[in-house]
Amino acid sequence: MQMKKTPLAFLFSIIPLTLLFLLQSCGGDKGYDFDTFQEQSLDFAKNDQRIDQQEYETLVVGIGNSDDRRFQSLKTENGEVDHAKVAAYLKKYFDAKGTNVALTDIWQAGAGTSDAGTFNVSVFLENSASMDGYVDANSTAFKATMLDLLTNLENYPATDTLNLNYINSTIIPVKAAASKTDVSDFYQNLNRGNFKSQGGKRGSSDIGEILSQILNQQKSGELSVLISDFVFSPGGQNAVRYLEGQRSQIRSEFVAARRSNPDLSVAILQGQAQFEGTYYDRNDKPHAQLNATRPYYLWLIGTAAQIQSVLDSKILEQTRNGFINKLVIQPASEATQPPFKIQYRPRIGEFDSKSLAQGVISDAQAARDDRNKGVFEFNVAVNFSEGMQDAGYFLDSANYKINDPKYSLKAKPITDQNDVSLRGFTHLLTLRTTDLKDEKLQIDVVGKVPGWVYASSSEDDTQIETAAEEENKTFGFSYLVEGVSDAFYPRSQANPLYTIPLTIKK
Amino acid sequence: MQEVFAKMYEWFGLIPFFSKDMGDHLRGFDVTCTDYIATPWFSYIGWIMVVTTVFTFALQYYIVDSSRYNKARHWWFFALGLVLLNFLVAFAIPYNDIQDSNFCNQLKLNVSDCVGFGFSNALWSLILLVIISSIPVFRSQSNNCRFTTFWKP
Repeated sequence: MQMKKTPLAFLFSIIPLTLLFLLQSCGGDKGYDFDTFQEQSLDFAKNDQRIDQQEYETLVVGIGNSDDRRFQSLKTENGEVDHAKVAAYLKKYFDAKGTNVALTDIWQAGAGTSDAGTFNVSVFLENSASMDGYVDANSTAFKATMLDLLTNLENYPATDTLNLNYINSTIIPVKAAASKTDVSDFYQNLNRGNFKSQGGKRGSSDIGEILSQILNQQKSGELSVLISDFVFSPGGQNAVRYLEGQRSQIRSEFVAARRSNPDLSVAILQGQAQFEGTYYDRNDKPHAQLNATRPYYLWLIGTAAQIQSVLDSKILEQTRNGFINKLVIQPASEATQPPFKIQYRPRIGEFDSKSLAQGVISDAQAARDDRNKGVFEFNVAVNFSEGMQDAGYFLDSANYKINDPKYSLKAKPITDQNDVSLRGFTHLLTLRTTDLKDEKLQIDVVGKVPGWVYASSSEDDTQIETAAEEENKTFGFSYLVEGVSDAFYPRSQANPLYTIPLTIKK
Repeated sequence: MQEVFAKMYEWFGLIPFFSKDMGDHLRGFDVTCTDYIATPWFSYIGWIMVVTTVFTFALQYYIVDSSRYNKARHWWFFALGLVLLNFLVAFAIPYNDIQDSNFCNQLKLNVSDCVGFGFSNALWSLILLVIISSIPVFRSQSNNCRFTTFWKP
């Protein structure tokens, strides 16, 4: 065999080697590609199940210096590394690879600091006669919750000064700049005798007046905490007319308060505790010896950042007995976009996955099978955990508004922590239509009074001893919340809190 | 290049040998079902196919370049090796991903998809080898195989 190397022969021998070299280097023009990023992050997490500052910064430098287009999904529109996206992706990737790393174990710049800074907290415990039944009860549930709440607030790093007050027809200061001992003393004095000795008019609860006092005395940068049963006392007046009047008054008070503090927000938490004592119904008729589990409420009134800070700290969840329902009423001036992801499956009909990450469903086709003919259905996983609302708020389809009424929406919580594709998301929204067309679909979560408020509200509490359901309700509560809600969410406006923009292309 | 190879392997939508879901996986739809940020296998496997085909051509026509191996049947022998290699590469990579659950769990992937993709890759390597070896100028510098094609001598 005679081997004579010609230029073409050389060329054919060298081409594969060159291509092989190109293949080796393909994917990252500057040597650091997405695959390297994934391997490196797994290596970092392997030993200690965490990504420390140095490791995180190594990853971020790699992302920043790389030209690999796959990193676009971890960058902002300006091409800068988006730390929230990096952390979220790392968490999902670790989960997918079976590496147990919590999101909090991934170091993030600025983590642990609060936008709210430190602030004064003023606690107002209503001590009108209607509250006696909670502090007189043999069960110490209410008092235990109060002790935990005040202790947690006193220990909370963001609390600058804790001020303790009673409130009825007037504010009764108990202790300014309360210490642990003062909190303990306050707890020890939670009894009818002390309530009486504090003064003020305890005979009826003018809730509009109580809220007015708190809003008017609230200093800038202060968080007010109001604890009350919030039972209105019409005192023999026409109940509905009285409640409507209170609703208007409360709305006016909050509208005025928002004028001076546009960032004002309110969180309402519902707790339950044993009540043993005299209950005064809408006609001020006493029902002696009522022994029942009754609702009471904790209101946080302050800026959105303050309320977010307290809610995020979980100090309310850490109180004994806790709270069963939560509502946050916040300014709806600018709707935020929560993290969301269109799910490729399950679905009814067909669509392409290529632009799902951009919120675009392309090549959409309705189902053709006999069972679902003409139906187009898909799911969107959304993470609402960064907001302040109770997770239950997002389960009620009445709290959503879709710009195309031909779409229906169902929401359910994501509970399967083993499903990698759903990790990092809290709710699954199922959208369905029989009129598929090209359009920009906008799903808004709107601010409104949630269903639990109406379920907890009563308009006639005169039969409280015999009607079992009445024991768990609060007279006129929905009017009270509507008054606040109307001040934040005018009924003439859409009031979107969150918005999810999608594009449907056939 | 990724999409060029993707279209090629999907036979421009005419004869798909594997499912659309396998296509999404090979495009790089990641394990968290978020975006196309995983390994772009269409591109990698496509380049491997091109490299091995060019190398096989060079092997027969310029490296071995023997008068003993210049018949059509020898061409088919080299082609068989190339086809088998490319089938194995294209089958094994997604098959391993399925075995390791290294794919978005919303995609429905199975072994027949791996076989289909392996077949596509093998077929394209054969087609490319036929094209390269059928162009006289590419084999003109070979001493012993300049007249060798898949149909003669």
